[in-house]
Amino acid sequence: MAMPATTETGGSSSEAEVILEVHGLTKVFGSGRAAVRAVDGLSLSVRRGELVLVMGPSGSGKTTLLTLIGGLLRPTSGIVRVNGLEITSLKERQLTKFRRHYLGFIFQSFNLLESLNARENVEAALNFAGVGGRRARKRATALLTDLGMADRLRARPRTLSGGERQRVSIARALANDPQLILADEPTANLDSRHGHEVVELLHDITRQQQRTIIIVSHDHRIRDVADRVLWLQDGRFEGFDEGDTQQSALLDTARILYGASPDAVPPRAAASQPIAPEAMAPPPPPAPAAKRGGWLPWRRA
Amino acid sequence: MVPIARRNLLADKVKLLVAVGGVTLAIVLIIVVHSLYQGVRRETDSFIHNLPGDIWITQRGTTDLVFSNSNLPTTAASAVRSIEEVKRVYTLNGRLMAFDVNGREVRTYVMALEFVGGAGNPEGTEFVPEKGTILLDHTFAKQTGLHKGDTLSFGDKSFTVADVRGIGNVLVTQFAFIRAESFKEIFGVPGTVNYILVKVDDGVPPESIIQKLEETVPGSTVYTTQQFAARASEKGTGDFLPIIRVILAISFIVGLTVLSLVIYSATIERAREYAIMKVIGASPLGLYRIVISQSMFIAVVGFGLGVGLAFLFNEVAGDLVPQFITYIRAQDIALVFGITVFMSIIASFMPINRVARVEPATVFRA
Repeated sequence: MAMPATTETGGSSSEAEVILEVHGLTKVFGSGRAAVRAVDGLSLSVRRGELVLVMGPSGSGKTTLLTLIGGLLRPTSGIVRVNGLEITSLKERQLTKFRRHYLGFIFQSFNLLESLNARENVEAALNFAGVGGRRARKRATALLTDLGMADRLRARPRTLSGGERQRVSIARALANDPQLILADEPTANLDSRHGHEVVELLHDITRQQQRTIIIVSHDHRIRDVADRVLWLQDGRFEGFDEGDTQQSALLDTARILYGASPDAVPPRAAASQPIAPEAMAPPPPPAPAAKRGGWLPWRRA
Repeated sequence: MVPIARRNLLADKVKLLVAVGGVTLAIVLIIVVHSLYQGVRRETDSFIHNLPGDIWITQRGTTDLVFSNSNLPTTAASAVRSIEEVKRVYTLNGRLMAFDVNGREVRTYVMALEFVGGAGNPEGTEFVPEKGTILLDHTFAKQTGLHKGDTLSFGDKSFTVADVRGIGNVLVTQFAFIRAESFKEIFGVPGTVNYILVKVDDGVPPESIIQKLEETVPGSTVYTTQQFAARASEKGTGDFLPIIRVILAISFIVGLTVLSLVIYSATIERAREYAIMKVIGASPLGLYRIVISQSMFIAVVGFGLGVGLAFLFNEVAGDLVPQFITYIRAQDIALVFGITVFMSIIASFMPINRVARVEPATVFRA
């Protein structure tokens, strides 16, 4: 498989480098009258260093979209291109290789391997990518240490708190230095404090490491750090309507919960109808974040 | 590399214990039963090889020492002696004999070896005791509680135990030796012997004079010692070989079933983890390796414990039941190891199939 060369993730790109392109992506489950269009002709373009939040009600196709982008499901039609590589045409073995090197996954239920300790969970991802022995252990240790888990390296997942488990999951997602990270409800199983930490962490990963993160979530806290928020309804992107009663209520709840002023929630497009594919194009590349003494909340001055 | 397979197994110690226990039991059964079979074969074989001579002359149709009779004319021994390539000639007589030991009737197969003549010193003198004495096999002595110096009675004859040693023990038959004169006195069939043993001249292949011997002794079948030992071993064990095969098959099935069930249930329980590993980049081959490693780990640990316990069991059983003669050969251990590996591969088949069908997308379900 001809994989594109790995790009440095540390610095910011001066060009608007597109990492993810999705064109006319459709996934139909079932057939005939029982057919369900979970994802319905979606198009999307995401730049390096962008943090995109996909929101929507349950059953709107958020997770299906994520699995299609991650090459875990085959689309019924449409194209997914990651870093210029069309993954929808890859064979199973090539997809495995692609996921190993180009994607990181963060899950709602953490999905750690229960029999392995924190470090081994990260190490395993490196092992699968062909990095073994001392090198893998060193990298796993460094990643977990950076995430404030230095004293929990040998702890089993069942002895870790939810926040700690998610940090291990994030470390595992970062292990093979992926350009694109897909996160499915990363804060759903966390309390307010840990949820906030994870949101900050993901934000810093995009800003400081110029990685691209697509988050599927109901968590409105993430709106605060997202470069773009996409609203998915019945498998289609729709405009995010602040005027919508239900959405406004959710936003208000978010503001109350996290103490954000109304100004802290970025204004969103008011269109309530399905939006044109061109509107899904990425915004200008984000400016590199100001130096804050490190990219992690635990390491800030 | 992170030892995922081992970690998975050690995470559920009860299940690991059950699996290892099942395989160990199967291995113990396989080794013990097989060693019993080999023990009987070896004992028969070595008994025949320990007697002097390169050639056995038997009555036509005789297949072995215990399960068939052989009667030859005494004169045949003299005729055989006259053949050029023959160096020494012996006669061997044997009969199952019941003795009275402290009012209890005990049976042993009594034999008498006699040197007929020939050049050089006769071999097998260790099987020829003094008159009025008897040599006992240690298994028989242990069973009966007889020791060196004790006396056995047969009608009005009595024999003092001259020595107790490993002479020959084939399942329910143990061999003993008395002098040929005593044998003749007790069983006295004038003019007949049971077997004629022939030692050929140095450098003469025993097979080369078989035809000449058969012509010299009409109505006989002539075997080399190797041939006769092989036939006797086969005859001695042949009848219970099918039973042994059934027990071996059952043992294999028990081990395979336990191993398969444990590996399969361990795989089902961790189906989500296999899906996670697929998502984070584990190749199918890597996952299959984890399943096979788990199976192999259990099988190899079970094999190690099984071999150790089989040796221990044979030792203890041999002490408690003297007839329980076993022999564990290195090649049999290697064979059982091969069976164990085969077992673990078969046991991995269904779990691997299950892992192959695990959908990685399922990890997104909360």
